[in-house]
Amino acid sequence: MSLVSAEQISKCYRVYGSPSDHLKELLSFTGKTHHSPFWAVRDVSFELERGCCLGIIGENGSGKSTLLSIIAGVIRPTEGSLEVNGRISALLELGSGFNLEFTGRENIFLNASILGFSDSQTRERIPSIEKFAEIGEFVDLPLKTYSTGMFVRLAFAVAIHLDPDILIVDEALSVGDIFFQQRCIRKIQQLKREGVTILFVSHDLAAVRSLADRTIWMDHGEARMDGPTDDVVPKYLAAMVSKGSREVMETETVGQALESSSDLGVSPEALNRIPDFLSEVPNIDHQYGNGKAKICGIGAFSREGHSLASAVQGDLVCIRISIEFLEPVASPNVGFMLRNRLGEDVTGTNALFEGMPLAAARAGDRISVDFTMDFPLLKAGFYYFSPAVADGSLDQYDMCEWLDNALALEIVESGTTYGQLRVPMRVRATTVPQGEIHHKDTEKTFTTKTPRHQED
Amino acid sequence: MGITWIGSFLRNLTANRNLLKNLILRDLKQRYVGSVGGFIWSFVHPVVLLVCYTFVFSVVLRLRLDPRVGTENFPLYLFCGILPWFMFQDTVIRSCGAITDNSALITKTVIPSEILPIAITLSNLVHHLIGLTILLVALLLFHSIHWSILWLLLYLPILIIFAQGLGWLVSSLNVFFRDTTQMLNVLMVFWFWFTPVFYPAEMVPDSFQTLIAVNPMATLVSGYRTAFLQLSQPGPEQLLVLGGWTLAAFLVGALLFRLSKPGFADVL
Repeated sequence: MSLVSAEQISKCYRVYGSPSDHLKELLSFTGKTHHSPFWAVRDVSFELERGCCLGIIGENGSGKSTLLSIIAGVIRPTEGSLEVNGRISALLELGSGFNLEFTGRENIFLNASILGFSDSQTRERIPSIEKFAEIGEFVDLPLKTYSTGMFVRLAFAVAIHLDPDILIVDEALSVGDIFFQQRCIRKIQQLKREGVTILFVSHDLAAVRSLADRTIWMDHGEARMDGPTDDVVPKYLAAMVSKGSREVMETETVGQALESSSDLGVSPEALNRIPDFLSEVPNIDHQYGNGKAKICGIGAFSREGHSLASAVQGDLVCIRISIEFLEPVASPNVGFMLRNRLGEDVTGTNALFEGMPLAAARAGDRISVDFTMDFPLLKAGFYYFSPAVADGSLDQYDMCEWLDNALALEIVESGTTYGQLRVPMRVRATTVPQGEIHHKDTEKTFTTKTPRHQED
Repeated sequence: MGITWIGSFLRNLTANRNLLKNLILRDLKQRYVGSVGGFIWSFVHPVVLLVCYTFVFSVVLRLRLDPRVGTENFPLYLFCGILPWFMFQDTVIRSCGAITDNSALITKTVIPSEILPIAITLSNLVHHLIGLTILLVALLLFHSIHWSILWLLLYLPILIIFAQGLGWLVSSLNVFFRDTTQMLNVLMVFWFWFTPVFYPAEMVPDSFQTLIAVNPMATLVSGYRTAFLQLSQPGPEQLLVLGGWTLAAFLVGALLFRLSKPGFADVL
């Protein structure tokens, strides 16, 4: 028997001119309508077995969260039938139903009783909830004294300790610190092994890949693709990437390449696809500098010259930074800093450091500088480029402009990555027969007589 | 249809009794959260009220009640009237926000929402019972307690059911119609002054007596005075009207809540 069985469920939001129109319609016996329809979810069908993990991906507004809310029973589908056999614990929004004035403990009891737990059943679970949430004595303090992280941990801890048959998680994994995220993922894997059915929405494709057996790709309310995660995620990524390239601004001026790019790994045809001068900066968190030069655009491009929103570890990535000089700059230098999502510097470089001094610029000059690399095998997640243009040498310079976190790039793992990064490795193992180790008198080395070795 | 609704409602209520208990506790605590005195405040308020009434009406104004009323103790007379009124007014006004103030619970968790207004009524009932206890102490000190107090077994449940019906009504209306709160506040001012709480119904001119007769709260207030001060019992017509209002409020409130409940999560 399947735990969740959804048959062609659709949710139509009625867009009302005013809330009172809504009431008129609910109370109307004639069936007169007072709205215009908006289909948030359309004809989605699926069945879920015990212990199965379903990932739901898609762009913002594609109906992912609506679908989860329907399955959780919070909103009713307009059409179609939904059958759920089991207790659902839903984390639709972290800490919904939590009251900031009350202590953690009081909130645990209230939340548990919404799921039908008696106080004694809840009391039995309190120690393990406290342990998982790692909030210590804060459990007896009002929630308003909690940090965001503690709040998130408590909410997640409560949701997973209430013996759900079905656990529904909406984007909750992307909050909280990295360690807690990892613990959540491990816990979800454990629950899955114990037979809990899991449904989750995430933009974190790495998490989807590592958790979901099956993935539904939602697109404008419809299930565009439904199948094994390894089939769906790459198709989704490809669609997102091609979509991203369409959004790149058109060329404004065509200039001369300062340096031949033939040996950079990007073919001339591919380079032709990249606008010579980028005029869009996707994001600016913070900006400073003396204003002598302006960073007009930054973009990441693939070997084929397509704009990248995400890349796989080790892929060739070309970062193009376009600069306009507003005043003469004697010895310009362009570079970037790469940061992870925690804001920690991962690496950085600049043209001068790479042995590519730029010519003096006059006011009005425009240049584009490309940094092409095999992207390091960093663990999956979002990474941010902060471009900069300066005037001077490596040791002594005036910053013309620095933009914090101007460009984001999502990195997808090509293989499991332990820790922060994966390093290409060669491994050699040697079997050493017992008793044959002998130390040379003074040197601390040892040899074996008949080494049998394996090499990787 | 009605029977199955009532059946599923009662089953729901028993299944969720722990939730109801926790919601009531939350509501009671919420009033005093962060205060050192805590629950003691709910005793202090009615006592202070009683002392002030005595000072103003008996000491300063030396108000004498009309002999037709049947008692000369104005503070007790007033207290008997104001207790059921506060229970009623507080329940209805606070129920108004029962759904809208808990939108996170409605839109993000699966909660039987009809319980939220019930929790408010019952938490107000706790305060009402505290008020009644203080009234009983005052009666023991300044008056006497008579078997007529058993009338409370009739009037208190009617008060609860009437308030609960209106509570459901306004809480669901307010989801779609945020003006409900404002309208209700205005209505309650009228309703209060047109209910003989601060004055005896006997003093109302004849041409306005109908207004008193059809006012369910007027009947409830005089019912309370019968129970505690052995004043004249409301007439049978008045009781019939009260019964009619109570039944109507409960049924209309329950029906409206039931019909509009599926739309809550969509609107909030």
